[in-house]
Amino acid sequence: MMNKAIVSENRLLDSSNIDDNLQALKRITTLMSSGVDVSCFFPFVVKKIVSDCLEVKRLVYLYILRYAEKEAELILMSVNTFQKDIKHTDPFIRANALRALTGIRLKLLAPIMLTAVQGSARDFFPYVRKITAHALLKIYALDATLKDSLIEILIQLLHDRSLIVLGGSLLAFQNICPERHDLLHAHYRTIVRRSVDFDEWSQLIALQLLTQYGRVQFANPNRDGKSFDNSSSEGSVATLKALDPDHKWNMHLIIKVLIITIIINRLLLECMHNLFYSRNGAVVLEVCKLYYYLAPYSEFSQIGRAMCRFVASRKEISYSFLLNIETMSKRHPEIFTPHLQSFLVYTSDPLQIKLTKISILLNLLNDSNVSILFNELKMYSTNENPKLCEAGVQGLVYCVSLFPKYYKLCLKSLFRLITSKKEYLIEKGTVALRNLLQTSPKVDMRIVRYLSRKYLKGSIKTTEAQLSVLWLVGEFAYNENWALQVLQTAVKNYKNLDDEVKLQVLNFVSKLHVANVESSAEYLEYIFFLAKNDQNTDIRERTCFLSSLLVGSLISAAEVHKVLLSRKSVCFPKVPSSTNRDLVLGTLSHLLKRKVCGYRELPKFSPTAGGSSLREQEVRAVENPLQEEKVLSSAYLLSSNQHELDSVEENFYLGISSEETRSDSSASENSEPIDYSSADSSPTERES
Amino acid sequence: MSLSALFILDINGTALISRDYRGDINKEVIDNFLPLITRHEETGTSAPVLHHNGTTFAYVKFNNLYIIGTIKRNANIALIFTFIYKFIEIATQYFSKLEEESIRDNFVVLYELLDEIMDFGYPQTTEPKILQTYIFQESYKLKKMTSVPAVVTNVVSWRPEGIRYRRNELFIDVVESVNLSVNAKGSVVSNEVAGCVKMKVHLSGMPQLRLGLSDKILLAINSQDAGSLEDVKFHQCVQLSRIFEKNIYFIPPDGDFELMSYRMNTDIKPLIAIQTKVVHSSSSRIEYAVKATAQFKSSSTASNVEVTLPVCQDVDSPVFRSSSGAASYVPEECAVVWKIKYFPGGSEVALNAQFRLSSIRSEEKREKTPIKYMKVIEKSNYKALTWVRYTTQNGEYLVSFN
Repeated sequence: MMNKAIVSENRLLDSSNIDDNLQALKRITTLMSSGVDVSCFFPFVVKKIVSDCLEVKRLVYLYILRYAEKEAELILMSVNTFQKDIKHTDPFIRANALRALTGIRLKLLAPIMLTAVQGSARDFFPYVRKITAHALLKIYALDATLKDSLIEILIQLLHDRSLIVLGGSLLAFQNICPERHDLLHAHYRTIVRRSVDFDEWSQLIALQLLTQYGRVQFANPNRDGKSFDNSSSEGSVATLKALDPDHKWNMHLIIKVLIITIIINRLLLECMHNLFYSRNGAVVLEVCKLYYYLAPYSEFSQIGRAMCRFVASRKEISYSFLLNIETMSKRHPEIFTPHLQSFLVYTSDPLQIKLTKISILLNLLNDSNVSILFNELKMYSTNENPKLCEAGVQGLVYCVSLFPKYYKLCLKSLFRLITSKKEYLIEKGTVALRNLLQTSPKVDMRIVRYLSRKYLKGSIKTTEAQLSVLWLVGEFAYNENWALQVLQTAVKNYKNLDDEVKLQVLNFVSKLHVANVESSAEYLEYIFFLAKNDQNTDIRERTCFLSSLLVGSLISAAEVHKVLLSRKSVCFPKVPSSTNRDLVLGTLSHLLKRKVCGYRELPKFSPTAGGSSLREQEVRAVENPLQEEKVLSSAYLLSSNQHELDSVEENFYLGISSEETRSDSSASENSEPIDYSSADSSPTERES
Repeated sequence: MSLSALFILDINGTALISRDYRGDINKEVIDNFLPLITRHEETGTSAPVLHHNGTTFAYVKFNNLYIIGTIKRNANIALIFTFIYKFIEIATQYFSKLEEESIRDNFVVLYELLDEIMDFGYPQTTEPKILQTYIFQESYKLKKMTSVPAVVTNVVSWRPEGIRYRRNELFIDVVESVNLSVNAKGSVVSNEVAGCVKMKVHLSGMPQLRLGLSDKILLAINSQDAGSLEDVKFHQCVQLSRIFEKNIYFIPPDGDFELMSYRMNTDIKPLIAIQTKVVHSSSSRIEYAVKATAQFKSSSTASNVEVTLPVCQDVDSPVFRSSSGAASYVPEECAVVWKIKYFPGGSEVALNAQFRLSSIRSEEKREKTPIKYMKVIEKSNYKALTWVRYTTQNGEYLVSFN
């Protein structure tokens, strides 16, 4: 059957009729996608690469990409055709051929690819040059030893006037030599100013690159003392002095450096600001990252607005935003507190989103919103879903740990949980009560009594809940008579208990023994006997320890009391975090909480940032503030309040921006006509 | 920050499409996906990103299809989801509906598309309108496409040149929905209007459009006050550098697209106020009384109001008494759906049911006019007809109870 098919396809492929060829190729593609191995067609398909029809070519490329690794020798034979296609008169074919050729993952071909890109980097057609930029990074992935020659071509492409080429070369830059910031200095301004006009995917790359660049090249706007938002001018003077302990420092020089870096930073932030309004979630997230990592704290409020917009978006996108918000809100809750409403849990949200929202809400807790949030958490704690219920209950206890005045209210709502009939509610409620009671200086015995009665009735079934009840009684009610009843029940069921509960029973009986030697002696003996012969090593060990403590008279009774019944230190439940705070936001590693292959740290702010002379173009623009340097520097140092500082900064920026617009317009005048002409020039014109 | 491969699976986990972009992933890994997701669903920990044995799956479930991006190296996760949704958008434009059947019918085009929109794991041209100019469902010959590639390199990447319409028309749809959340005490916790401006453009040439916005939207754009939740996002075609002016300028893509979307915090009172009371009549019976009041003018009416009351899974033998509309129990959604066909303003309707409830959603009509005028500027100065329509869709109403 297969043979027959091969024969008929081959006949069609051999035919000189393009329609026949297409038909056969389409059939082969369909077979290929349904998992059939069609490598037997390879020689026949490769032949068709010489076809003049773009459609045929595209399908052949598709096929070759899939089977190239297997048929290396045959591929070498077709390389000639590829090279011919790369010089084809139709730019589209050139681009496609280049893309396909560099897509073949054969190290053998890397030098050939290099020759090909060297030629196409000078193509008249921007689209081809863009594909060339992409090809660079593919060749680099194939053979890293070619790095130097690739960078050479990259430098050439970075100078390109066309935006799509620039976007592509930024991508290549980021993959080939992200550390070579020296290559970017000259283009920094163009990238910053024109990033709004990039296509959305290039915007992403540009933003990532600028974030990295900014960290290395700019001063930290939030550093203590040096902070330009921090109103303490004394601090900054002190830091400046500290920079040069000999007091020979040239004040003006230092101020100059600081101011220049800040202004450059401002330019970046101002230009990127417009991207906050993008419709593409990934772009917005990237701008927010840039602001988060580079902007002074006073500008952080904009992040909140932009990010909260995507919380109500599609659930996957909303999920990735919420995870980032969670991390940001931990360190800077003030960004998101005004948008509290966005994080209220809706019943239609998937569980993961609900849980993330709750931990964000807990991060945002403060004096003014605690009353709203407490009610919200109370509602979540009665939810049908045990996981959500748990998060709610933990949230309530966390609330109390920050705001002790909510102790009573919290107690009340937890009590409502344990009086319900649902097992998971009782469990979560009991565990939380344990945490809560531990925090209060005077334990309300009525609750412990109530729990123990419930325990006696057998309505506390889950392991966690039993543990908590036994611990509470042993810790706070060891003197009471009814504690013995609890012990009785525990001993009666001992054999059927979980290992964890067994351990707790051992502790429990020991605590009672300390308080009341006579009445509990029998129980102690019995349980120790059982536990000594337990299968579990932990239980046997624990028995050994406790029996030597209690039965043997190694230490005095008072000391035993101290060991077992001293007040335990309080541990509050922490806000559960679903991400790792230290990893770079928005990355897969951040989401998975561990470093994934290819993860790159964000560089630290460099202490000696701001060599503005590197960005040649900028020197011109910076001249402006330098002339007014004297006035401004003194203004800055003397001003002790925020407002004045701001206005100083603003004046600076205004000075720059007028310069900006001028140079911008002149730049676009130069570049755009060239853009158009090259885009419109048809191949024939160029040939002639 | 890149995708290793893109897979499309049907609901049974059979791969319909697989496109390997980087060659760093084994094709067999996708066989792990379905067991993985089933396991997570059982334990209730399913998340849009799953990790297994060094490979990460970021997936979107759409029309009984799983569209999965596999990732081997550190990647930008928001980019991957944005890309997957973009792919869905493109495929929907091409095949009118992305589903198993349309994929099986269009293998070849899909592969061509996948080849074009992503290269080595990095997104490329993803504008459906542009792609349609050089990837066709029907086969074509080389000679037909001499001027096509210019589009890809255009500054205006979303609109091909040389579009001609005999009748130049422009439709603007303003669709708004109200989202409201009320806490157990009956006070409004959040209240916002989410709206979007959709356009259908049938205009010739390269028209530059100017859209005048009402002051309220302008305020939202210009407000630097972090406290307001109001915000706007625009389609790629809008000149972002000029949005601080009174108008927005743009060259629209051809056909349907969403120009902008916005959210506004408003202090409007809920159009339909819901009150509920829970009565534990006995240990086996719980009675819920729901009262809905229409708080709008008596001259207007709401039609097709639907109130959904989620209830516990273990309820049975429902008994309903309602003063208006019909209520029914939908066991598969664990909810009671109460439909009111005709709900005049100022009136009050009530329902008695036997369930616990935590959320209510409803649909109704509202009126608002964020657009002042629309101006079309094109070199040839043709006359264009502009149609504006306002609709309000159902938003999310959430009312909580103790």
